[in-house]
Amino acid sequence: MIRRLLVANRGEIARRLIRGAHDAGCEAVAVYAGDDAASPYVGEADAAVLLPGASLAETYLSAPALVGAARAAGADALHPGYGFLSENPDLAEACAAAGVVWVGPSPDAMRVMGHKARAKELVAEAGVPILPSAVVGPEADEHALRSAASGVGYPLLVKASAGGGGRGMRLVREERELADAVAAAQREAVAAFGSDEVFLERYLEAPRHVEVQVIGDTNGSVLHLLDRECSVQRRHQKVVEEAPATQVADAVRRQMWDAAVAVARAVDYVGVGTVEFLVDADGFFFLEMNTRLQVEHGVTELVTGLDLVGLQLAVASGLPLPLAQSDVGASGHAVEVRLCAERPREDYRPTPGTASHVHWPQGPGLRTDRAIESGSVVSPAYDSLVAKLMAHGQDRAAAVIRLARALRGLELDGLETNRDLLGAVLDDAVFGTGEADVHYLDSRPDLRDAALPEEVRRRHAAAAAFCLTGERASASLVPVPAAGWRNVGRALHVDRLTDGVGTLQARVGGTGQPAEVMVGDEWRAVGTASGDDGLVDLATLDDGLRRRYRVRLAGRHVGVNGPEGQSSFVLHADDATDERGGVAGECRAPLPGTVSKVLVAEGDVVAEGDGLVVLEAMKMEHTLRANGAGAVTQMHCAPGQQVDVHDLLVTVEPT
Amino acid sequence: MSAPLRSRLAVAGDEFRDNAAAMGALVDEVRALHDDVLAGGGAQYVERHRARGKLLVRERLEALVDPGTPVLELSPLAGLHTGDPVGGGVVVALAEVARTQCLVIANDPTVRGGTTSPTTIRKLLRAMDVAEENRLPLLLLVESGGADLPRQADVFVPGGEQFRRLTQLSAQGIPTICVVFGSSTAGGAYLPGMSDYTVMVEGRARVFLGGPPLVKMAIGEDADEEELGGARMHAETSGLCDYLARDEPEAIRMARGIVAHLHWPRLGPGPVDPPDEPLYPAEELLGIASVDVRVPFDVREVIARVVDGSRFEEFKALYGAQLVCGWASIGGYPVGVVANNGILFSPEAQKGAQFIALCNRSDTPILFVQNITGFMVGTRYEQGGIIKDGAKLINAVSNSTVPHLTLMVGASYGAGNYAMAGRAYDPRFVFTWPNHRIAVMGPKQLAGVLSIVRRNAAAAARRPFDEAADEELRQATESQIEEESTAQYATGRLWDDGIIDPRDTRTVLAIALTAVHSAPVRGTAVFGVVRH
Repeated sequence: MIRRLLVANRGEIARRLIRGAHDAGCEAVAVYAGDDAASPYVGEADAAVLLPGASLAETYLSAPALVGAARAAGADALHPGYGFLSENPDLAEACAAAGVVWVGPSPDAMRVMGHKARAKELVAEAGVPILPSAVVGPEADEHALRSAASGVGYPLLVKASAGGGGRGMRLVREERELADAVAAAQREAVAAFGSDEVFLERYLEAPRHVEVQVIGDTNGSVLHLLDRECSVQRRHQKVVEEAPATQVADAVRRQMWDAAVAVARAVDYVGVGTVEFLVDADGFFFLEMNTRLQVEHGVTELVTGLDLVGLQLAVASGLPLPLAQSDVGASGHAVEVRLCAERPREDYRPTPGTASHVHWPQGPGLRTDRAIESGSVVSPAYDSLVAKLMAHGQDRAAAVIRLARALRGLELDGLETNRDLLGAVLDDAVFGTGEADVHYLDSRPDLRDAALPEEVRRRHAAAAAFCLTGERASASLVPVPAAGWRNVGRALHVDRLTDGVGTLQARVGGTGQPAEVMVGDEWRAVGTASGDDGLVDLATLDDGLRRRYRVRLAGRHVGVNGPEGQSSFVLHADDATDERGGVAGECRAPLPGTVSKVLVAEGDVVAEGDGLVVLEAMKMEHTLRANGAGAVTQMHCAPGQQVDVHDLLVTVEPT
Repeated sequence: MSAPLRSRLAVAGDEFRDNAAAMGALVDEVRALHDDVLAGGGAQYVERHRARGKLLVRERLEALVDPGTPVLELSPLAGLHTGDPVGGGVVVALAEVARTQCLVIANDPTVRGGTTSPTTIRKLLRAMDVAEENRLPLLLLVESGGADLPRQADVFVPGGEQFRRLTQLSAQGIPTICVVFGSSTAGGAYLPGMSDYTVMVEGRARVFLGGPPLVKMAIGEDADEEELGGARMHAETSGLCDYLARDEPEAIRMARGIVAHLHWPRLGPGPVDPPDEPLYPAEELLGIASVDVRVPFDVREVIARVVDGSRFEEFKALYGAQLVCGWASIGGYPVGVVANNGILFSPEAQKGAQFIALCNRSDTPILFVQNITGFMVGTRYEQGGIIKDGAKLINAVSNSTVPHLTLMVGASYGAGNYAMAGRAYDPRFVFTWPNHRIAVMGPKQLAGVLSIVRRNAAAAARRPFDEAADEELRQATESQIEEESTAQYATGRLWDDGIIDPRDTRTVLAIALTAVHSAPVRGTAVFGVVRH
């Protein structure tokens, strides 16, 4: 039995593993880098070990540090979670060497599956369908390349053998693109994985991503725990996952289960793993096997009622699986969305920040595995996954409705996320059919357009109405209610609010309540804010509907939660501290003196605070610095030159 | 705590409805006049101003004030019926900036280039009175073309006072902050010159004694405007500019920052009583007073709709009943109320004088509610010493040192205006309902008096008296006086600080009381000699 588990990960999965450890009756020890000291998971563990160092390589990616932490904490097992070193055989071996139980498969199984080309060979031997492919060595000439390619068939993908995550991947539709694509893929593969071996693989035009959860024990028993569908992806990263897979014929589904078990058996798999397939009209094809707990394991847990982490710990302890294949069945349907701090419309650019307020939706059938709580910081140093929201229902439609509603009820202030994209997907008709393929999200930029423009305007309006009449208005010295009162004309409060899409000006006018709000040049609404609790009732003039929003202000961050979701704005109130740096421009002599040194030349690019000229005056040397970033366009002085006060010395053009 | 007043107003009756309709129409007239003022110098000049990327005067004001706080403009219709631009091309407002109540003076450059008319001068000087008496930091938002040159004879000499007053404010420790958005030249250059703090907008502010044409005329120099008086020059070279702003919003931010760092203390006591709303709706204030000021009404109906919880502790209720005196509070600030319910007789005058002395003993500000046709006249009353008693009241009003607020809700005729803290008696603020009438006496009486004088003169000279001509003249006089005694006429001449919507009375008085309590509130025991 494992007594004390070292959780070698962070964020939401660390919390999941801590919970799993506690459920299994063992203690959990967290590890944390300095910037994670205040993360919720650290406090939830029974003990925590600081991983010294500032870089990932020194902390969560350092096998010696992790094993050292396990020893220091007296842990008898180590769970790697997902990501980081979760599929790293060296860590598994280091654990073994230190006498710490590795919660995962054998290093050999990980090595085989980590090498894409070798994995395919092995899988094919086990009788599992694979896509036609051919390995291309660095020595292959153009002729060899062409013949390998025609064997595979077009269109095809060039992939790094050691790769993953889409890196080093190239799509080739015609023979003439082949050579360049291979060369490029080799370069990327070397840079990313240290090996220039690539292989060609048949490309499917519109496949769906279906995967089978498997689990094996040390007694050689291997079961499948049904399937999941993860076709909604953005650039090879899953966004929406569900269990079971939709729109798969029962016969095919069974073949995939059997195939997955066969793959696991082929590597004597111990622990939980996932065998991924691409599915299209012609059948299913092995894609890869992930030798760890998946991000999306929760949907399997919801439909099967199993605790995958608990099973992992049991199997790692050497216990036999406590269930047989016939015990595994699905009840209803579960859907998960990955809530990330990112801006979908800017190529999913991460949007780290501080969540000033979070309220996670609760209700029947809902599960939220989350990394953050109110006040948590999402650091740019780590993955942008903030939470996994899952809903379980009697069928797919029920689960989707539940999840969509939960998303709308989520209050998350101060942090920009992909919530509106997730909501748009759940509402989308194509997604509703269950037939979305892996290109679905990338081919639907409309879904990335944050919220509907009208809804964004409404949220702006609610935020602005609140700023005039709500919390910020309570500071008047006049002791009778007179918010926004004017005897001549109307109060006019102008706020500039920035969200992921851009900056909109909101003008709030009117005497007292309700206030009239104008967003942009013409859109209007009438808002009534009730004093302290941040509630704003907004009646829009375009559709005549009244909606209720809850607005919270934390410093300059405004969080608006409404019936259709949430927006976070940054308020540019005119009393805000001016955060602009200095403006580059002219550097003039502050006093008469002699130029003793010139530190820059025309054409140089300077940052704010960079030295430009050293001026000797009154027996002191004064370094004159750039007021702001820019380029030096003209020097007006030379060493030895006498200058008078205010003489122009350097011209810097702002960048 | 005193009991609330019980209203006997028949709000469902015809009289109430007619009054409310007529008062509502007057309020609409005032609002229409406000709208004209809001339109500045007209669409063409507003467009030109905007095209230069500048904010309009009230946009500057709105950006300056704390969001959600009330703003009370003073004398918005100054200049009405005088021939000067209405409003005087300047906005004067009580406003909260960085949680500090301030007095803001802001030029409207769209009105004749923000030039100074006699009305502008009167309004500016009145604003400085308000700042000084109430110890309010003064903010000047300047963009002015200086004197309206064709009218220089009317503005040059009196206009000098503003610069004296500015530095005297400073000498009293009242902060003066000048933000220059555009021209502030010639005499106007002393606005920043005499201010404690100056903020100038780069590329916009122009501050010089003589512009390039004058410099050319005077000394033959070809001067560049920017070198002569640009913001950057003043920031780097002359030292006149303390804060150089890149644009208008930044200038306003800087002004807010300056006010914030003052940590300006309020020296008066804070509100102490519960500030609950009156029991009766403010809306009903429209239907109490008739627009015909000869129709009497019970002033307690007004008090019941203005003071906290309608509570009123009446003083000497059974004595001198035509002058209602008592204690109440507005927004928690205690006030003594002195309100007319008819003509002033000797007992009323004596009661008022005593009450004012009591308010001074307890450092309580006084709210005068004027609806007064004057002191009683006639042999009986003259022999009864009405002058002697009236003098006691005027003595008390004149020498009282607690702040006075005067609210005009109807007539203000004759010495009643003086005894009830009319403008000449330096109340801190005077606000007027739109039905208000003010004159030495009623128009009918005045015309009648003149007619009697003419008739007596004709009789003395044994001339025949032309009845028809006299009637014509009498009517002409009556309508002239009628016109000259309206609230609009009065507000145009700054006899008040503005006509208000009766429904806003409580809010306006609360803002005024907030201002009043920025300064210490101290009564006196020292009054003039009286005849007993």
